[in-house]
Amino acid sequence: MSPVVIAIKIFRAMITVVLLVTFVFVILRLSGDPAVQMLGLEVDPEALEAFRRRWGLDRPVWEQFLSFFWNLLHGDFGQSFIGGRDALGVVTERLPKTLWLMGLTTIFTFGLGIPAGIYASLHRNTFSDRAIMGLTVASFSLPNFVVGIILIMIFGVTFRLLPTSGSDTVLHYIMPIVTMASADAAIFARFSRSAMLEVLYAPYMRTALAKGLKWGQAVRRHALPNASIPIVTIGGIYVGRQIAAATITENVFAWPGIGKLLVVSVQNRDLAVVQCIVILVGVTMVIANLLVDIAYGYLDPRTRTEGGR
Amino acid sequence: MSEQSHAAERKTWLYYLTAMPPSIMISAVWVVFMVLVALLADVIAPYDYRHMELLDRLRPPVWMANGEWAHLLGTDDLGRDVLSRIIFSIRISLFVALLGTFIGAVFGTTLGFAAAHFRGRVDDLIMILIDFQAALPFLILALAILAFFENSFVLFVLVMGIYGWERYARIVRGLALSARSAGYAVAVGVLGASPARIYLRHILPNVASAIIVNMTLNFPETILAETSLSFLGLGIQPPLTSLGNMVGFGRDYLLTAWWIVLLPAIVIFVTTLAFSLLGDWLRDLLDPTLRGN
Repeated sequence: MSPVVIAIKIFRAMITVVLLVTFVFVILRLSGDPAVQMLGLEVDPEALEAFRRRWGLDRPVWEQFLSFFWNLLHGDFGQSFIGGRDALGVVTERLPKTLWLMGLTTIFTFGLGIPAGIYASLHRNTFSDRAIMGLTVASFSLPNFVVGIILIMIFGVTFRLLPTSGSDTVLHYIMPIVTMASADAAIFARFSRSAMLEVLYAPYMRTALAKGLKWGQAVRRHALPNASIPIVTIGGIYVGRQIAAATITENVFAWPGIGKLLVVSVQNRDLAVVQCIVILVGVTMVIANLLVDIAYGYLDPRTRTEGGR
Repeated sequence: MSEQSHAAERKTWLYYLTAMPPSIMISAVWVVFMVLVALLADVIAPYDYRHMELLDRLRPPVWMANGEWAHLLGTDDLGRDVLSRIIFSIRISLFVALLGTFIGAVFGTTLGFAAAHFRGRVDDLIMILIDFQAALPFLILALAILAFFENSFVLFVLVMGIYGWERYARIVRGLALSARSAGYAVAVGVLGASPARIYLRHILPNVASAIIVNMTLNFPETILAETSLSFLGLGIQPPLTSLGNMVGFGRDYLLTAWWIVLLPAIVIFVTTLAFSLLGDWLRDLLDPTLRGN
């Protein structure tokens, strides 16, 4: 991928971020007086006035937008209802818990989903292939909150083996991770199966077998590396699904991460925190999509010569 | 249509019906059953879903000790009949998913056509919007909108309508671009048909199967999104009820009254599973090019 193509991709990613900020700005303005929205109605008029002056709400809209953007660039996302604290601080404080959850889930998801998919592809149309694929369809239809609640019912309430809320010990991690991994492992299983099926019967596999490689060797040296390329492409979708899954799962298990914070903030209409989380999620997604795009360009030599398209 | 082609058509439908795998048959039966339940909710529900009997709270289903025939699936923490609530929840969850899917299809298709027709700036703008949608997981977008605006039933349905619009837009744009240069579209254009007529009367029927396939795949996902948001307490608001809503409010009673939670959860699972299986099957049937993963 040429530097020009990468530069264009980065430029498009930046446009998306600007659009994201604009979106937040617009719906914030559409939903009512920002001062009241941010501070609440119970605040005394002077505080509202001070807030309007500080955020320049008496100035023209485009000027407001620029200063809104400028403040965001300086990490000023406004103040949370929680003790009038800086919203970004409130969010970043919760970040490690969510990142731990997502990181460990990812290891589990990959470790479970990808081997299952490869196994299914190598035993195509056998009973185990059908069983694995059937399981994946079923797990698509099981929303996270149902998986979580069933786990709580079995391991938390009936057998009292695992704690059902909080994040204090290692044991607390087990059920949330299983909950989050259940749906995404299915995606990876299906995707790696179809990626494998696409390469298993490719001409280069026939060549490899013809030159005398054993089936296992050919799979390891030729099929697996080639099949791993398309799996990269679902990286962006995966990050998005993880964020959504974490939001639900954290609320099922009272996990003190960003997802729980988001839902509580939405319930309390703590808009500074909501806006902060939305923008952070958006920027994360844009970066993830960009990295996937660029990585794919490097991994798949065919896209290099064609200029990335 | 001639007599002969009629016969041929009937034969193919009969053929498909008999060629249905058992899992698809069961799914179809379940879906029909759910639709009937949703339509006839007022007639078949033994009680009003809001009717409380505070003296008869947390009664277990009829097959358990202490169960009563008056409440087949027991009662919840406010003494409301669980069966009646499930029946009405099915109605509301299906209705919201149906409306949401429909809105998304219309919105996405319109934008897809607009992008294909105007090209240039409009096309760029719509592609940027699609990029933007890819940058924000739907759940987060929905939560943000529901936070900024006061939650109401109409707003919630509109938000569900946003879900998946970009897939319609992308598919329809691609198909419309190739259809535009196809002979029939050019021909009716030369004959003086207006763009609206070309797209709605001539191109739409040709891309309809792709749209319908996407709708059947989008529908169960919309059910999951609606129930998830309702579970969080940010979707359907009481006194209305939804399947997710029931699970969300019932989870405090996991220890004492599992039936409040587990029964609606099972309905969600079986219903989305049935719709997904049907959708996959329909996709393979109508759109062989999409076959594969």
